[in-house]
Formats: sequence, C-alpha cells, structure tokens
Amino acid sequence: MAKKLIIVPGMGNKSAEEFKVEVSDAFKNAFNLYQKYYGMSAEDFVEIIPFEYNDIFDQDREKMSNQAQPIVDRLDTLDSLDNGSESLTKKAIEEISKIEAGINDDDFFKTHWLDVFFYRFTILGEMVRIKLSNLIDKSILDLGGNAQRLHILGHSLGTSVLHDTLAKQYSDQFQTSKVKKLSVNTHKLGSLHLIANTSRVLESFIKVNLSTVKPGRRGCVHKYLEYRHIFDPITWPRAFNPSDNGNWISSDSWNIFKRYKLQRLTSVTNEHGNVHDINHYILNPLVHRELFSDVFGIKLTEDEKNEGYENYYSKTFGKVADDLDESLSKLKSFNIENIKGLFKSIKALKDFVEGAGGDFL
Amino acid sequence: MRIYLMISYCIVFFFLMSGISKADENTPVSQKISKPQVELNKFCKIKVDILNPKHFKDAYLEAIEIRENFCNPLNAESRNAQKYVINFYKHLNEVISLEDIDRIQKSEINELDKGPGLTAFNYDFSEDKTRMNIVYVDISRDSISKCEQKAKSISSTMECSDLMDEFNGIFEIVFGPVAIRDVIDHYLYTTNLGQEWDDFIELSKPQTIWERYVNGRIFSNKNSDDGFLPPPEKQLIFLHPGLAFENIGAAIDGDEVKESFSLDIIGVNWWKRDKWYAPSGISLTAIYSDRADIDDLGYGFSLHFKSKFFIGVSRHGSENGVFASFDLIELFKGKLKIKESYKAFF
Repeated sequence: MAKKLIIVPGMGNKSAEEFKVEVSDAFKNAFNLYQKYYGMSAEDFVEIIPFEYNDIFDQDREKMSNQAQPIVDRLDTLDSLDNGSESLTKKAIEEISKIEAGINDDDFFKTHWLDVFFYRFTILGEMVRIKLSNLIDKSILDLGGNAQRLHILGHSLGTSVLHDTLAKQYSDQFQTSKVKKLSVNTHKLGSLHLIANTSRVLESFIKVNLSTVKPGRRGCVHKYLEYRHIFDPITWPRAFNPSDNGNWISSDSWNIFKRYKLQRLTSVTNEHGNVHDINHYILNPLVHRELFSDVFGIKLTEDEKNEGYENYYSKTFGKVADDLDESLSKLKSFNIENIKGLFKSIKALKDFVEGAGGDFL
Repeated sequence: MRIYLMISYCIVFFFLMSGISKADENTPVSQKISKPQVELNKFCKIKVDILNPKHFKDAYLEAIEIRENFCNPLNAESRNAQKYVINFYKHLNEVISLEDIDRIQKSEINELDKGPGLTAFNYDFSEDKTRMNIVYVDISRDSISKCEQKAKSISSTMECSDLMDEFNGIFEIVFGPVAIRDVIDHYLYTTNLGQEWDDFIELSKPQTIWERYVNGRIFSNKNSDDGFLPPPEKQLIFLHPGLAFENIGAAIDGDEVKESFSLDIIGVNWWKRDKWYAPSGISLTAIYSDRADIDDLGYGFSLHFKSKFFIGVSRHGSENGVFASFDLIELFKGKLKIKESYKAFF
C-alpha cells in the first residue's frame, strides 16, 4: 500500500500547489546529489498532499479591506471634527479605516506578519486546525486505517499549526466521550518532520512539552524529527528543547531507539543567506536522509552517504555563513524569547537576505 | 419628533419579538453530514494488497479471511475485529519466543482495557541490534537471535527486519478494520465542524483587526483540551467604522439627508440569523456628519441585520436623527439615485 506525506507550509501567500512544487523541486535537488537516484522525484515514492490555510486569512483580509475602502475614500470630510470627543472619534475612524483598507496590500508585513497574527490571536486559528485535522482523517481513511503510512512535514508557522492540530486531534487516554479523539496507539502516525519549529514560541492552549505530539508509546507519532539551522534566527525564540529525563519520552525512546532526533544544521548553500527557506533545509543531507529513510523507505549505503555529502559540500558558501553570523550577532543582545522576538528575528533575516540581493518569501 | 419615536418603537418591537438574546435554534444553517456507512463501504472497497509472503503464508490467508468477514454486511459479529488482532500475534511463533508473544498480547489487552486502544504494529532495533521492541514491548535477546536465524534460513540476504516488514504488511490487513471506525467518526465530526466554520466565514459580520483580536481572546478562554470547537454564536462589536445615510429633519433645507460616518463603539452580533427582518445585532453608535446649526457628532444605537446592514436612531445635541447603512441603501438603488432612494425609503 502506498504512503502519503502531508506538507504544511509556513508564512506567506503561496498556494497549495505552489508549495507542493517547491517541496518536490527541493527533493529533486536532493536526489540529484546521488548518482543512483539522479533525476528521481519524491512522487516516485510517496503521494505528496499539500495543506493550504492562508486562503482563509486572505479571504478575511479582503473582506476587511473592501469594507474599509469606501470610508477611506471619504475621510477628508472628517476635517471639521476638531475638539474633544469629536476629534477622538475622527481619529478612531481615520486610523482604523486606513489600517483596514491597507490590510490587503501585498507587502511582506501584510502577507507574513498577518498570517502569524491571524493564526495565533484570532478565532480563525481554530478553523485552520479543523481543516488540517479533516485532511489527516481523510488521508488515514484513504490508507485503509493504517495511519503509520502517513507522514507529515511542517515548515515554520506550519509547525505550530501542525502541533496544535495534532494536540487536539489525539488522546493518550481511554476515552468515553461521545466524539472520540484519535488514539495515540491505534492511529499513530509514521513520522513527523518539523523544519524550523516555531511551535513553542506560538504555543497557546497547551504547552508543547505536555501535549501528545511526541514520539513513542504515549505520542501520536512513532518518530519525531526536528531540523534547526544554527543561523536561522526564526528558530531562536523559545526553541523547543526537551530533555532526556523520562518526563517527555522514555529513556529507551530517546537513547536506545532514537525515536526523537534534533538535527542541527550549520552549512549555508543559499548565496543570499536565506537559511530559513525550505529548499535550503531539504538540500542538506542531515535533513533529506531522514526523510529518505523514514518516508521514502530508502536506505543509503555508506558510500552513497559519502557521495551525497561531497556533492552537497561543494555547494556551500563559507563567506555567506560568516557574514550572516555576524549580521545576526546584534539580535543576540535583545530578549527575543517571545512573539515580538520572533518578528525581530524574521526582520533581521529578511534584511540580510534582501541586502544580499535575494528574495525573502 | 413623532416619526422618530415611532421608528424607535418599531425597532425595539422587532428586537424584542425576534428574541435577539438567543440565536435561531430551529433553523440549522449547515447541512449535517452523517454517513458512517458510506465511509465504511469506501473502506471495504479499498483493494487488499496481494502479497507473496516468504514466510507468513498462513497468516496472510487468515488476514484475508478476517477482512472479508468484516466487510460482509451480513456478518455483524465479526465487525468486532479487536479480538482477531490480539490473537493474530500468534503467527510470530516461529520468529520470536512464545513468552515474548504472550507479553505482547498481555500488553495489548491492557492498552485496550485501560489505555487508548490497540497499537498499530511497529518494531525498532537499537543501533547495535542488541535491543528490540515490538509495539513498545522489549523482546528478549533469544528472540532477536531466533528471528535473525529464521530470516537467514529463508535467504542469505534476508534479515529479521525484513521478516518484521512482511508481518507488518499482513498485520495491516487485519488492523485496518480495528482502526477505521474511530477515524470515520472523527472525519465526519471534522467535516461537519468545517462546514459550520465555512458558514461563519460566509455569514458573520466582517471585523476589524482589533475586533478579531478581542474576539480571539474571548474565544481562547474557551479553548480547552476537549477537542475542536465550533464557531462562536456571537461576535463582540468594538470600534467598528461604517458609512451611513442620516436624516435629521430639523436641519436646514437641503441638509436633512447626508452621508455620515458611523462608529459602533460597543455591541454584539449573532451571526446565525436566517430571517432577513430579524435583527442580528445591536450596538451603541457614534455618528458624524457636517451640517450647519446641528452638532456634527451624535450618539445613538443601531440594529444590525444579516450581520451586514444597520439602521438606527441618533441624538445630535437636542435634535434627533435616523440613519441606515450605506450598503442597505445600495440595495434600494435600482433606477433611482442614492439620495432619492433613501428619501423614498423614509
């Protein structure tokens, strides 16, 4: 029976199809590092199913903007309001309407920051979680109930969406309620791959170290892998760093059977230093080897691993890595251990990438 | 003055008669989907993999039979597939020890009775292959050796993990019926909830970014770990700007009807309104328009309809006014110009 890989994108205004193409291309580039797999694609091994949620936010942004624009068009007639409560009312109408009318502009702030705002601070977040849960349910149904053939990959904000959805969808208890959650035993997923994990900095209704989103016996996945680039500042605020004390997962799961892995990446292969980009992550052997093994069922030989590494290493930019490290050093002097810090981090990387002539999407 | 009082009384009358304190209960907005049988039929149509097992031939034949019984609608007894799953581990008897099989079965019985249910088959080896888990139960070293020897007896290139993979492929045939029922229920649950949220997006009052934030904070206080939540029944209205046409009879000639800015200071809107004439919300409103000899800023209240339109009454100093939302007037536009249609409405 086939396997499926659900992919959950991060911030931005990519459609589901665009993100699927991006991930497929990233895997193609990874396969091309190996002569035996040259020219192959991920779809040769697994069905890739993209999840789209920023269309929900886009729809809402458009509604807000359309409502406010007629008001903004008439604002100059408010000028006669100039005392006490009149000027306060005028100010309120002016400012609110201008913000709302501009909310649909396609600049970075609107497309990226608003995604985080809408997901984390508005009720639309629940709608997103329900849609993703429905997609996961449908995928398991299509796999004949065998959830271990389903694997999920999340990137950036997508990791928060993914974590929160699974936390609500799965239970590790014996259930008597009318609508049961999925069981961490019976419906355990094959593997979870979190690229640039933001689930802890954006956590809301449950702390990430207390949820069912973990590997092993009482978790909703068999294996849990996280990928973090040391120069990706978006992963710095409140990074999720579980410890091996038997609280989160058993010592056997951690040490003996390696059901949890955190891959720390250091190489830079993007000439503009966009280390947050999903292509950049997947190209790194530390990332794609895990996906090859757990999702595609490909076991590389030692010679193949060496071949892949050599071909990858020839693509690295040492100077870009040094420049990026220096540029981000200023960020370390701020307290970025919160959502505001996340935005500072996003901006810092964006400024560097665009300063180097690249696009930060 | 009397016409304004009459309009006010009519508005309050409609408000009270429509039972604004409760959302409509007898008029469900969304169509509920409840078709577990449809989904079960789809599951039974999924073709079982045709396997050529190197070792577990009997297990494969039994798995096919169990699956066929489960999907036979006349055979209700076998719909309970759980007992077959626990029993199915017996087929590992030539691969691992009977003691280990017994421990796996006891563990699974415990998970079924007191835990979250039976476990989908999985196995892990430690890196040095000295430790092995099957469904998170530690397997003895003797069993690991037995498994490797069995694999090698079939083929020199075969390993214990290959035997486990073969068993897993067959086990899935039996396990699918165990897993599927709860997945169907959950799928229908999230489908119905998703439809309710789609209705909310379609029918609810568009909100500003502040309103989104405030309503989000209220909603998150209800965000327990009991699972997914339906959309809220009501929306808090907070500093919501709008456009209206306002009529103040006491204004000088030509100034009675004016385009005005409105600001709903605070209010509430119930978005699941089916009847167009039943108010969906109410708010305290500030309204501004520039007229000679009349205070520019007035205050009053608005009634909202279909989460979009509003009408209301206002007081500018000592003068009364009535107003209606810009887009409500657009509805009456037809062949008349906006002001004429508004005058015709009043």
